[in-house]
Amino acid sequence: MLLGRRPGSSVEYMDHRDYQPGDDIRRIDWAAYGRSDRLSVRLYREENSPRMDLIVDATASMDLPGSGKGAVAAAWVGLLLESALAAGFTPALWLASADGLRPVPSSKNGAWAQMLDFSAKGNPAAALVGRGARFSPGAVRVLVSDLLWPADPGAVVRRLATGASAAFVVQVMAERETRPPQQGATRLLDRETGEERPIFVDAGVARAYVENLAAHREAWGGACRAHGAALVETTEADCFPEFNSAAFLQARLLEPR
Amino acid sequence: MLAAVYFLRSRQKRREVSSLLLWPKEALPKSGGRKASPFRSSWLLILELLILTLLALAAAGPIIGAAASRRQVCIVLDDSVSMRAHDGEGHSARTRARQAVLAEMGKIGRFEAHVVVAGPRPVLAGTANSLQALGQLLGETEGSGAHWSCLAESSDIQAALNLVAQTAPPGAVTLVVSGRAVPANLPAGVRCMAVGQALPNVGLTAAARGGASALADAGGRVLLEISNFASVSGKSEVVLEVQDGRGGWLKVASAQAQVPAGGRTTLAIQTAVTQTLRARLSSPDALDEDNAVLLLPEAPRTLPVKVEVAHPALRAALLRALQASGTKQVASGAHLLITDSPEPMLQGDGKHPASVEAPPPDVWEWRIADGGKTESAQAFSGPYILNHTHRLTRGLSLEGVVWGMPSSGLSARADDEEIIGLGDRPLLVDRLFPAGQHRLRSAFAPDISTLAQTPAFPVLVSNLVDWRLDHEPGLRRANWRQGELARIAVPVSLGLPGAKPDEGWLCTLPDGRKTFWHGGPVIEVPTPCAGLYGFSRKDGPAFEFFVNLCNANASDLREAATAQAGVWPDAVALEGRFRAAFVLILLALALLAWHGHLARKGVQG
Repeated sequence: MLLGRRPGSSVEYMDHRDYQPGDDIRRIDWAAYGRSDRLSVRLYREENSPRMDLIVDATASMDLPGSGKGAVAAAWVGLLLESALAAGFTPALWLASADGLRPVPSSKNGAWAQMLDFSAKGNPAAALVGRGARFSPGAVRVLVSDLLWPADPGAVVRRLATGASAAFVVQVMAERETRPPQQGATRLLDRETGEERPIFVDAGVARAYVENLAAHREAWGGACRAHGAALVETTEADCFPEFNSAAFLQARLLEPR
Repeated sequence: MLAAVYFLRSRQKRREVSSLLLWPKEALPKSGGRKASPFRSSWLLILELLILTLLALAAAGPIIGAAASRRQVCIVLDDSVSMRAHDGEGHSARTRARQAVLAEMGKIGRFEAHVVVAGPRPVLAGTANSLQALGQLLGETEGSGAHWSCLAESSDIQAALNLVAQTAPPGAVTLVVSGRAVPANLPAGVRCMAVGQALPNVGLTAAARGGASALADAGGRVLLEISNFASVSGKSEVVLEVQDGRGGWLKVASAQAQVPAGGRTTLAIQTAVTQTLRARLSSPDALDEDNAVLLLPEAPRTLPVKVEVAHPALRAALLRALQASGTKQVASGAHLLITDSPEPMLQGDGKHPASVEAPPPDVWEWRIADGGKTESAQAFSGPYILNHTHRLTRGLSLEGVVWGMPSSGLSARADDEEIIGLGDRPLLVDRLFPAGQHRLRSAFAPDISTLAQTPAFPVLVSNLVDWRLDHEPGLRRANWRQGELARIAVPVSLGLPGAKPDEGWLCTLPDGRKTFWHGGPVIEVPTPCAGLYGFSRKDGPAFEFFVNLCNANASDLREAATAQAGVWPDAVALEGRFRAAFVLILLALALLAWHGHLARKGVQG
C-alpha cells in the first residue's frame, strides 16, 4: 500500500485543519473541540491505488557501446519492478521512443528485463508529453532515461507528475558521459541519429561539455522541483560491483523495509 | 615516435556518443581531420628529436661500444718441444692446447687475438679476429703452424708476459697456454691453462763426437748421455746408424745401458765411421724429438805452435802442456808463438815515434819472459789479482803459486789489458792488434817460480790454445746443442762491418730461413731449432754444422700438468664510454632547458 501525498480517505492520520462548511462532520475532532473550543477536522492521508507506471527510455542511446549504461538501466528497472511487486504494487512498464509509448504486456512482467530493447530511434519527449500515454491515475510514475534529448523538461515532468501520487525521474548515464571528455581531434557519432560532428576537444571544449551537462541536469532538476517530482542520477558506479541505492533512498523512491 | 606524434596529432579518433546535445558546435582547426599533418618548420620538434637522439645515444653508447669493439686477448703459447709429448692415444699437448685456445675464444664471441709464441725468446706470431683465422694461425698440426712449431728447447713464459705487457692494447687480457705447471702469482688479467701430462720419458740429453785424429788408431768415438725421467730404472739401447745411400739408415753399432730412475748414464761408443752418424734410442716413448741425435764428423783441429823458449824446464813444461792441448809443433807457419824474447820495437825516424811491432797476421804471441833480466828477480806468493773476465783465467787458480818477477817488472801500456797482477804490478797482460792478433806478455822468472810445476800452468796454456783455436777460421765444433751459440771464426778481412748482404755470411737454418751475418773474427749464430745449418759466403768458404735438441729440461716431462689459474675481469672497461654518455646527457638537458624556454615563449611546436 502506498499512501499519497494529498489528504484522502485512508485511515492514516496526516494533519488537522479548521472546519469549513461542507466538511464531513464525521471527521470533526470533538476532543480537540473540547480542549480548544474550536472546530477542527482530522485530515487523513489519501489512500492511493498501489500502482506504478515505469516508463523506460527505449532509444538506442540507452545502450551506449563501450559502457555499462544499458546494463545499469536494466538493473534499476528490474530492481524497481521487484520492489514494487514486493510492496504490493501493480507495476506497468512502458517503453518510450519517438514512436510513442509502448506498454509491455503484464503477462511478461516476470521477464521484463529481457523485454527491454534499447534499439528505438528518435526523441521520446513527444511520446511522454502527448496524450497517448494513459498512465494510471494516482500511480507512482518513474521515468528512466538518460534525458539526452532535446525537450522542455518542465513539460515532460509536468505530464509525468500530473495525476500521479508521486513522480520520479531517474537519469541513467555512462560514467564517461559525466566526466570531461578526452582531449584531441574527435569525430563524434550520434548513436541515434547517426549524425557525425568533427570536433577538436581541447580544454575549452571539455569545460563547455561539463558546463552543458550541469546546466542540462539543473534544468531537469528545476523542472522536477517545480512539479513535486524527484530527480535521481545514477551511473555504472551505483550498480557495479554492487548496488548503491543511496540516491534512491534519499529521493524516497525506495524505502528500507 | 615523436615525429609520428607530431605528424599524426591531428588524426581524429572516432567516438560514439549518446547524443550531440551536450557537445559544443566548435569549429575545427584547419589541420583537424587530416590523416597526417604537413611538415612545418618546428623548432620544438627539432629540439625534441635532438634530445631524444642524444638520450638514445647516451643509453645505447656503452652497449653499442661493447658490441662493436672486440675483446683484446693476448695468447701466449708454450713453444717448447715438450708440447709435442704425446700420450698413449697419440694426442699431444699441442693438440690439447690448440683445442683449449679455440674453445676459450669461442666463448668470447668477438675478439682480437694477439698470439705470442713463447720460446727462449718471445715472438709475436700474428693477430686473428675470428676462430677460423686463429685456427689457421695456430696450425692444425705441429708441422703446419708457421710460428708455433713447438721445436724450441725451452719456453720463457715470463719473457713472453713481459712482451705482452709492453705491446698489448689497453684493456687486453692474457691467456697463457703451457704444458708445464701453472706459475704462481699470475698478474691481474692473466689466465693460465696447463694442458700437459706428466709422462715417463727417456732421452738423449748430450751427444758429442770425438775427432778421428784424436784417436787415430781406434777411429772415432761417440759420447752419449742418456737420461731417464721416469720413476723406475730401465735398460736403454742406443743404435748407431749411417745413411745407406738409399734414403735409409744402416745400423753400424749398438750399446745398452742401465739408466737409474731420475738419473743419467754416459755411453762411449767406439766407431771407425767417418760419415754422419745417427744415434737413436731403440724404444719409443712420449717424446720422439729427444730419442735421436745426428752427429756430423768433427773436423780435426790442430793448432800449429812454435815454441822459442831457452829455459829448459820452462820449455819442457810448455811442450807437455801444448801436447796435452792438441797442438802440433811447427817450425814455420805457426799460429801461436811462445817465446822468451822481448817485444820487438820499431825505431822512430823523426816523422814517426818509436812503436811496438805488430805480430804477423794470424799469429798470436805469448812473450812469456818480457820483464827484463831475471838475475835480480823477486819471488812473490800473492795475493794475485786475476781478471776473471779474460778467457785465460777460466778455471785458473794461483793459490800456492810462487811467481818470480824480474825487478824491472812489466812495462804495461795504456792499451794493455791486465790478466794477472800483483798489487799495482802487472804480471801478465794482453794486447789486441788491429788485425785481430793478440800478444800476451808476462813478467816471469822461471828459475825462482813454481808456476810451471803447478796445475795452473797447463790450465793457462790450455786456455790459450782454446782461445786461439776459437779464432781459427772455421767451426769450433760440427755438432751443437740447441740453444747454444754456434761459434764460427771467420777471417777478419771477410767480415768488414757495413758490408752488403751479398758480401756477408749467409746462414741457412734447418727450416729454410736465411739470415745474414757480418763482422768477425768470431760470429756466434743462434740455434733456435734442431737440424742441419749451413754457413757460407759468396766466393768464400762454406761450413755445415748440426744442432741436436739434447736438453734435459725439455726431455723431463715429470713437471707437466693439467691445471688452470687466474681470472679475467668480467666486464670490458666501459669507463670512457660512460663518460661520453654523461656528456651526451648533459647536452640533452641543456637542449631540454632551451626547449622549455622556447615553449614558454610560445614558439610553435
